[in-house]
Amino acid sequence: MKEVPCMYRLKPVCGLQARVELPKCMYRLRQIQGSFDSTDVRHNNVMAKSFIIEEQDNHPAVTKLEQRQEIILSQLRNLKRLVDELSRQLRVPPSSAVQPAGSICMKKSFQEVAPKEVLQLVVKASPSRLPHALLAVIQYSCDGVEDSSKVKPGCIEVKWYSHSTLSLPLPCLPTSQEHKCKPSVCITFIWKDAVKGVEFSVGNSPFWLKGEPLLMRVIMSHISTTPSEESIVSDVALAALLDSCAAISELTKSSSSSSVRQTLSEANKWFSCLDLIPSRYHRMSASEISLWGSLKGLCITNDGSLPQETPAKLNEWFTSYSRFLYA
Amino acid sequence: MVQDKENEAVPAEGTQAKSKKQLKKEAKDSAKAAKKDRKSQVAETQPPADDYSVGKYGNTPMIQSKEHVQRHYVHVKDLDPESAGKTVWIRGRLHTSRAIGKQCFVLIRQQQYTVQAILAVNDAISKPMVKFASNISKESIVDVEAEVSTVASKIEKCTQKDVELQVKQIWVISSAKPQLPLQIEDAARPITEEEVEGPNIAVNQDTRLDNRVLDLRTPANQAIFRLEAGVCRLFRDILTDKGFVEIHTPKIISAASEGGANVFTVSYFKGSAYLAQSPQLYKQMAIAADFDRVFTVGAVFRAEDSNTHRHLTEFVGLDLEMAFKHHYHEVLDVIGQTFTDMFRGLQEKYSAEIAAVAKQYPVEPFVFLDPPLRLEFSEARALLKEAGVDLGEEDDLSTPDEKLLGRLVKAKFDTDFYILDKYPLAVRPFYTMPDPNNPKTSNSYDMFMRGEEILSGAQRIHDPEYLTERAKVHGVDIEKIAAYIESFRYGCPPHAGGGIGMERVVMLYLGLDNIRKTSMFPRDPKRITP
Repeated sequence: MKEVPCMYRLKPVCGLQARVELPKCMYRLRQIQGSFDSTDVRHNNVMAKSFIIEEQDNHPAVTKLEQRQEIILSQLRNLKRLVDELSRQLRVPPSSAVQPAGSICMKKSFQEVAPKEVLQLVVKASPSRLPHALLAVIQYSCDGVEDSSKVKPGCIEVKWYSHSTLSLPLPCLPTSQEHKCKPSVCITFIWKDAVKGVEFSVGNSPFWLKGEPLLMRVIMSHISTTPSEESIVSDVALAALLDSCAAISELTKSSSSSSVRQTLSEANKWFSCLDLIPSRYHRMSASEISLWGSLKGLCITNDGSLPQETPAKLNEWFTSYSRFLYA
Repeated sequence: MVQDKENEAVPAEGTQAKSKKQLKKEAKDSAKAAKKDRKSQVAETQPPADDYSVGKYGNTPMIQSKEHVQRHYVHVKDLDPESAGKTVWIRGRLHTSRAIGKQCFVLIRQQQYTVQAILAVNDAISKPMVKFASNISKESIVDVEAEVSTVASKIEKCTQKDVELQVKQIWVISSAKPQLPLQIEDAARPITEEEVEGPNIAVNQDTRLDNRVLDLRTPANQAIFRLEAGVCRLFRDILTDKGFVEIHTPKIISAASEGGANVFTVSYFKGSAYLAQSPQLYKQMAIAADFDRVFTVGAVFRAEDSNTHRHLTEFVGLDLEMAFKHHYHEVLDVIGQTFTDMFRGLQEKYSAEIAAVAKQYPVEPFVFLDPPLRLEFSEARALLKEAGVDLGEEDDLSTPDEKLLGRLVKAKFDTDFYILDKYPLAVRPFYTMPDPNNPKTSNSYDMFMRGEEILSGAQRIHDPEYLTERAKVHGVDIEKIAAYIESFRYGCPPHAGGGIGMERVVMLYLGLDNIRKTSMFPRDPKRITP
């Protein structure tokens, strides 16, 4: 995964009570006029250790940014763990080195490994927040459409379960036909009320991961055998787009217009950056299907249509992609 | 020396001799005291002259069905704010009573439901009546006529929290001994680790079982056995709806059902017989007799000297057997779905009972998946391996392995009930059908609740020649099972089935720690009474 460039790299600190201020300049000299400045760099090495500073009025934007940073760092840790897990399953050594910008290791790993183990997933979701992208992928798997741009036919086997605590009605589920080829992904799907979004675990791993975009990335990377040039994207932009998809999934009916606009604008920004998803040339890639799924969820929330805050380009793409999926 | 003969008495050693005068005085005093006692006894039975509540309270004569009494009784559970203002008759037990000044608060209990009743001295209720009520011994059965009234604040200690009774009449139908071997309050107290105010007395299991009649009156026990009845009813109803026929198999048999030494021997006229360990043979004979789908509910006897939390020497077995067309999974699906339907039925129809049990024995609610989760033994092996337990290909699961697997399955799939299919052939009985696709596995399965096994089943070998061959492989004496093999010689459809212990299912469903809690009068190696 590409390393995000920055001046300083610190270990993420979790649960720390005290606020830590990162130095904004190389040196800070003691004030010779006025009161004594406690941050005398000649006595205390600011770079070496953190220290508690006097409470200042925090700019809300800074606090928000720090919180976001923590979230992203924990997501990166989870992703790294997942990559290591998948690499182990694909029988390649786990990659800890930074990948060159503009490429991902998926293509190389697919070429090196011939037969893949069946990817075993346990997925939990609630009927109140349907995983549209996942259901679409499963439907295509069931339909067995012979199209290299779409999911390989018969490659996802799903066992549907309802949890005993489920009180909400189930949606219409994709009906599976008898698979002609051995499935490459086996999903144990549990419908449960008290699940926010989608939770999943891979193989026998005890960890539970969250988010449909992440799940789509796992599935698509496993079943896709012909990664085309168009699917090779920069990790940062892809991650940012998938991040936006997660943020879109969090929107509800009660979300304010400004937050909806801001979230969709953010998604549109990354969507526009990715020339590799042109509106006339669709692929069932993780990013596209995740974006479509998140927007579809927004449609359901808004009684069938995208909110008016949706940028025109995104709206047009969504309509076009829906036609592509339901064709 | 002249002695005064009148006052002469024989002195006791070390005491002064009493004079006749003194003796007379003592006799007079004792007569006076006896008269006073007699008077007070009479006063107890006869109301005082100023008692205006005469005819509204007292001890009724023993009910010998002398006459028909036209009186409608209301169950305590039906007392609600909608009955406010109505005068009702209830019959229940006096749970507790507390006299405060001119008032007496009485808790009446009917099965697992309680309601508060009040007697207060007024124009209709006299002081002697209030005193009588406060002196009724606990657990006595009483008839109470009262007016239902609503309360300003809920009475938390009662099940009927929104109403109370203003007593008009109170009669003792059957009096209980004042000294009870155990208090219902103590037996019904939840066991918590937190420190509570007042005496935190817990009644131990042996005391409960020795006084089972009293112990069964607690709300939790009332709920447990009602739920157990529900399990049986649901089992019958669900299977009957699926076309099963209930059969009744003999319990006195001539040979041990499953082999081994765990059989009770009984003297049978001039010889001996055994108590049935399972209805296995008879279920299969019923299938061979074209009943297609059968089930049985009956006693099972196992002379296992196991003093554990989950073994009894006598329990109720719920067994079923079913013929199938091509694959034993047809049967497995039916069994699995039966359990799911049963759990759902309990959830829907017995939620009050489940809550009552959880109040005394708090535990996580039982959760399951629909359809039931089914794993193969190889998947279970992989899960255990991930957790650090390495099982050989032909190894069985030990009890700790089963418990660990239960926890892993719960963490991964969020279910307390699952099916484990394709057990290793080496660990199954001789009559289990081997898996044709894998010589090391069998067409057999176990089902688990909260990490403990509740059912063991399989496709049975229905071909007599193959059965003989498998019996030889297992070193079983063919002569001893000749009758068993013979029953397959006249054509028998492929079939599979299994059996569960009713008490164990209830124990695990409710998350209880001991099977004796779910057996009304349990039998184990150390207990054969009451």
